[in-house]
Amino acid sequence: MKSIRNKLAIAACTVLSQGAQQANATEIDTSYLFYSEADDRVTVNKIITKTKTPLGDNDVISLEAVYDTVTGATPTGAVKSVSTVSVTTPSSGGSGFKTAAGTPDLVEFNDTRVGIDVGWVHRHSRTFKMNYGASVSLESDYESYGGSLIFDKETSNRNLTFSAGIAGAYDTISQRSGQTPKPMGDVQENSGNPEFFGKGNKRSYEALLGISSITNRRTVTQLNYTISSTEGYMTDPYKLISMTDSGGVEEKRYYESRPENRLQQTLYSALVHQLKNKNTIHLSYRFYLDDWDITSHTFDYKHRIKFTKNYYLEPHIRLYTQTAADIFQSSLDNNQPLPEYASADYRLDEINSVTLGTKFGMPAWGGTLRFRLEYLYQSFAEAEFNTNKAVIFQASYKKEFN
Amino acid sequence: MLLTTLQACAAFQTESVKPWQKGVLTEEAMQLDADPIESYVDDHIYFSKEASTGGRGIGGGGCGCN
Repeated sequence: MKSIRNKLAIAACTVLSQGAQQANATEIDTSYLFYSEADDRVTVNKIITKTKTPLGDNDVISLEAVYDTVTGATPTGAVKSVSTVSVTTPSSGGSGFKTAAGTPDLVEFNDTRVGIDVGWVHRHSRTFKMNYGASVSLESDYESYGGSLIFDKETSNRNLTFSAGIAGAYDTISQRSGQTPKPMGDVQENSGNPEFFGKGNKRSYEALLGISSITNRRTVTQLNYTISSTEGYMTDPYKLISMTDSGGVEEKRYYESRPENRLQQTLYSALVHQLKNKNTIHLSYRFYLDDWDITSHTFDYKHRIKFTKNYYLEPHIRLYTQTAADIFQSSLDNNQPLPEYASADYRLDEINSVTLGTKFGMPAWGGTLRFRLEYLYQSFAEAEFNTNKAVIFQASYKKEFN
Repeated sequence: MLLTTLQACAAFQTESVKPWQKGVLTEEAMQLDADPIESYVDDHIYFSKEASTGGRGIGGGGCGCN
């Protein structure tokens, strides 16, 4: 009897170690994303392919390739001007920007991005594995190189997994010309007598501590703590900030300026639970804190409604709220000296955001097909553009090959 | 919704789960990251549109997203 029980245990462990993937099956997941913002702002078309290949019993190699095209227009941070403003500084793929009097300031751009992520998971023993990762992301005005190392240690009954990891990244940033403007430099002066520097760079160091737990036979929970320290050039070389008079009328424009250090921390918790009707809920909450005075809360809830085997509908809601960064100012006061750091980037403003959508999954051609349609609504407290509305469509297909 | 909430409370009832009782947990829907390619896309979108980032994990390439 004990022998049968042991054999069952070994069999179950083998199944668990493979997760939802068949033994020795190569899994290919391919996805297309269409992201489009209202008012002819940003449009993104993205293709992603992710391959996961087991090598023997103890190793899994993964490769993820991403190709993005980004077009449209994005707010510069400047306020509505009273006269037409024309600046020859090249935007990301654009030829500069020209803003008619009285219209909000947008800069047109286009760019492409290629990204490669490589991962290797090696199981050293029944309860211990290591995850090695490397990534490269290339754009005309941004390059990123990163690496990561994560340890996963399970308890002997494999109901608890402890994770610890470190990661690092080196990024270079510039305008498309390969230059970066002087932080808090006067835009109009620069267009005639440019004061630009070479490429900026920044270095990021991350650490992770996590625990995931099988709470009962239908529930899994997770708790992660991450800390990230970044130093170097974190200014957005395209973003501007207006200096205005007491009536809010623009007098001058400056390039923004951000601090050279940032410490970010997150506490992330997640719960996955299968209800008695076989539907599954995914619930997560993230608390975020950084030393730019930003605090945020993110709630995410997905409810997978299973119709028959492999057919499902998954409604999704995401709620997000963020305080403004201490460097955020919608404009500069002409009665005050220029600050060392200031940004009117709407992403550093106080934000409230909601995402609503649903995903449909079905079997197709021996794999699974998923379609997702979502609507994102963001509101900003003080930024010149006080809302952002976007549609997200994603179609994905996954199949395993023996 | 109330029923779902009540049922979800069962998620907090802890029990010692034996290996042969983990069948449900191997289903794709029960993975902590049930759709990694969707998570990747979401992380990228919200990284580009909000000031917060991270939580689920570490590593991965950055971008100069607008």
